[in-house]
Amino acid sequence: MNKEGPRASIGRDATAANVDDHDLVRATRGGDRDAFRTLFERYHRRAYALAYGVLRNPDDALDVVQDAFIKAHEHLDKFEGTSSFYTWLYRIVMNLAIDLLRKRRRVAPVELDVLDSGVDDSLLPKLFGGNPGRALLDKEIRARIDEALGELSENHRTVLVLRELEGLSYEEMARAVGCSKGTIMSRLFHARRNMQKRLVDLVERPAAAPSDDDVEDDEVA
Amino acid sequence: MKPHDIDLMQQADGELPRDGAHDPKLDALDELHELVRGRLEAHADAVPEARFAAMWKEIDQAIAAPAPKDSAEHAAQVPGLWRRLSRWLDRYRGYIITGAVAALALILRSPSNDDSHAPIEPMPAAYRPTEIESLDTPGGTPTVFHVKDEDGASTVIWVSPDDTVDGI
Repeated sequence: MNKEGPRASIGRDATAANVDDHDLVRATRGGDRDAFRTLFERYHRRAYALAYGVLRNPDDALDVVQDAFIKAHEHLDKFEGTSSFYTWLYRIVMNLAIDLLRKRRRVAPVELDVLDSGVDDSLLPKLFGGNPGRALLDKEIRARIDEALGELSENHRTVLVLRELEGLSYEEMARAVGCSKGTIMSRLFHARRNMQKRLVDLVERPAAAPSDDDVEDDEVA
Repeated sequence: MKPHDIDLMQQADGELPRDGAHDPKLDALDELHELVRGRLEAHADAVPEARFAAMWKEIDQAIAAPAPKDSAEHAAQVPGLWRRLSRWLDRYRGYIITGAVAALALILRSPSNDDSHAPIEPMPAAYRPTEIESLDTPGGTPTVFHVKDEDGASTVIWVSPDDTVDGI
């Protein structure tokens, strides 16, 4: 893939799977595009999951992932290596996804925690009986989770995705989103509370055994 | 938000040590975490590899192109001569217009009779206004006056700044 000359490439070696991200970054800086391809192959789906979680649109998510890798390559000299390459990459993905949401936002978002202020706002004690893997085999539950995620406000969903998918701390989320730690906690609490509320009528329903209908047929074509 | 729930949430997220190990709400938070994470990862896994292969082609072409982004960024960061001139003109437009009007009035004004060193030229039989073929006054509307008085004839171009609204 590297068309720039006979420079040694570590990116597509048989041992590339064992090469550290930082070594791949160093090789990419030296002009080895195959090394960057290995980074792409390691993280493109994870980056997509993050972008899709925030944007809820497959095409937008793909665009954001593509732009994020191009930007990452362009600004690789600014990557100091104090964090992992993926940590740096997800920030780029997040920024692009949030920018896209802002551009498309036509009206000010309404926070559901404001709407919910008059109701009982405690967390629910259980969902599907402590077996999420089994619950995810149920097509109806999967559809309900998607629906519930889609109904969250952008701010709530962004924080929930950052936490549940990326495992960011409150402090890290506050920096990524650009708000206070208290706001992050509030958004996260209400995001979870709203997710639970939307899933509540399935709580007592026993998770069904997987059937032929329960294949992943509702994804990106 | 109930304080106990906030504590539980912080425990679930590793912000506080877990002491409510058998709290069903804590278990429910763990379950929700698995459901959301599992669902998003399933969406990512469902994207056909061909889509990402096509994406890599686009990325590879973009990163192989020799530095157009640098020049584009440079252009965005360092404004060009015309942009800098425009900004300067915008900033001092009021002064410039006033000065330009005064200068034009002086330039276009016919020589007066009190210039003792200038050769005496006969006045034209009929005053003929200065011809203006074109007049470009960006950001303003020009009005041309031909004035005759005891000092002679003058042409004055008065430029009224257009009303502007920020962002329009």
